[in-house]
Amino acid sequence: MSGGQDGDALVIDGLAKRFGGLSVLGSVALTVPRDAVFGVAGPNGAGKTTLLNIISGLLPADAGTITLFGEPCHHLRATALARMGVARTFQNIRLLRGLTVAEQVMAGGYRLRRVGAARGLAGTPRARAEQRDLRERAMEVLASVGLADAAGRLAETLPYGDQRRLEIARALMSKPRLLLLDEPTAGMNAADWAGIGELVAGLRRTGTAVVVVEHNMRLIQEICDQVAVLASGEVIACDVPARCLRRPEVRKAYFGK
Amino acid sequence: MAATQLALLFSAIEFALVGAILALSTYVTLWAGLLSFATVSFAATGAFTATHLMSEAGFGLWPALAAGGLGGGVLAAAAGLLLIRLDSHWLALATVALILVTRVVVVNLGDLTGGSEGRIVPVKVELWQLVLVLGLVCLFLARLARSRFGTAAVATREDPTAAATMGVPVRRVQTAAFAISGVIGGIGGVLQAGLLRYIDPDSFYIDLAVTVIACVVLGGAYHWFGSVIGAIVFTGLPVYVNQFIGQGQSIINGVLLLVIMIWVPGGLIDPLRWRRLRERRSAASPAGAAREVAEVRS
Repeated sequence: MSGGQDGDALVIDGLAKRFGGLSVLGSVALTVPRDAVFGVAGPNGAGKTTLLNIISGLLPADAGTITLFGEPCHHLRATALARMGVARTFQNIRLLRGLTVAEQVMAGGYRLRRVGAARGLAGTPRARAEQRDLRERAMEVLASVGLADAAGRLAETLPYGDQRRLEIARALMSKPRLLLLDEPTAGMNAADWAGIGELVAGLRRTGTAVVVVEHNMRLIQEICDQVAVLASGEVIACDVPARCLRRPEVRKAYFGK
Repeated sequence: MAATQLALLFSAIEFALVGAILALSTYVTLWAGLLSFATVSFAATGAFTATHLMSEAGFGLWPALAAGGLGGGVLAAAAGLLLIRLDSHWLALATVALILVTRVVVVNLGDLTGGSEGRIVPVKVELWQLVLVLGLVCLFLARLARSRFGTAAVATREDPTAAATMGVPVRRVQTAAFAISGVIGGIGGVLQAGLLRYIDPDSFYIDLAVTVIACVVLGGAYHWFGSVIGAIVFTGLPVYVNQFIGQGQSIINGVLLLVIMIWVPGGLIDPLRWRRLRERRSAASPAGAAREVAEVRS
């Protein structure tokens, strides 16, 4: 699986991580093609979130390589990776307190802002035009996740499901090439998660590669092109969802039989 | 009688204006999520640098302000690079240590600072000059808030991890905030010296640090305007009230501190609370309620 082709968004090889004496990731290898929705499933404690934290640069790996759109990037931290087009959401939603929904999304467009401090301070027409474009794009992104009506509201007062959508909107605002979603439907009811599913599936058309960590097997079957199943820090299966879930080792990891 | 009243009022206003500049210096670091008392050190650096240049090199106020701002900025950038790696409360303590170190340096650099004897400040600061400088600082911060830096600072303050995943260079933003705080603090120090007309090592010490922090936190740390209001309440008002009650300053400050901390925890200027209130009000109004219902149903 190593090497990968030019067309791959993300290639991971031999990735390992220990916390003290505890091995969280053994030697993980994955290839995520462009324009794909790639699922990462597995029981609690399998190392899914750790994997996502390493890919997004929040945690350094102990060993292994990560290649993003053909460029080796395992030495890069979160800020540099975000600039390369990696965006993510968090399992426990991390919104910025005190901002309205629209401001929250505009903040997500940080990496696209080009007007430097001097122009911003002088309030040049270019600075004002950028500000206006940012607002317009934020409204488009909000509309695409169904939150256009809430633009002026304080983000933390939104219902839980809408906060999840908002966090995804903030990530989308940066025009990511690789979007990492950490359990986007955790704690949601069926109606809400179906909506998220549609939203994520729709991203395939925009050319964004998506890695989604998810517990919900039905959702994975519906939206993912491929799914890797992690158990105790190892990839025990990687295939199209329907085939993957029939494998005996996957059933054993999930259902213990 | 009326003349002394007027003089006192002017004096109170002048100290409030300088207090606002010093408070804004501290506000900038809090904006990027850093609790720092270092404004006092930056002010001391600015004040003693400028006083020396005004006495020995014949600098006027404006070049002295530039030199003081530069001095504060350089110290702040160096301190920032060194200290920002520390966790929040350790950083706060380190900046208190910086104030202590600054005092030792001021006492022992007698040739430049006048040592423990202090030094007379040859240039007087006029009210209009204070108004102008404070106005420029406020304009600068208001513009900065709408720039890319403003977004980065707020994101860094609220959630450095999320900020980093949005592409915000957290450390660099905090170092820049420190440097900006240093320039504003240095300028504030020069103006403070011009008001006091005589500075010694005690002019820039712990008590000033406490006043400045009180101005920012109790004025409201989430908007630059809070620091200005805080400075009027915590530096201007005491100077004026002192004529009526001897030790009025400390008593009033203590009581105000308690009242604000208990009943207005977000500070006097608190945009977040106002937003929450507005939201609650719109939810309570019929149109807002209808929208809420629609949201619940959908």
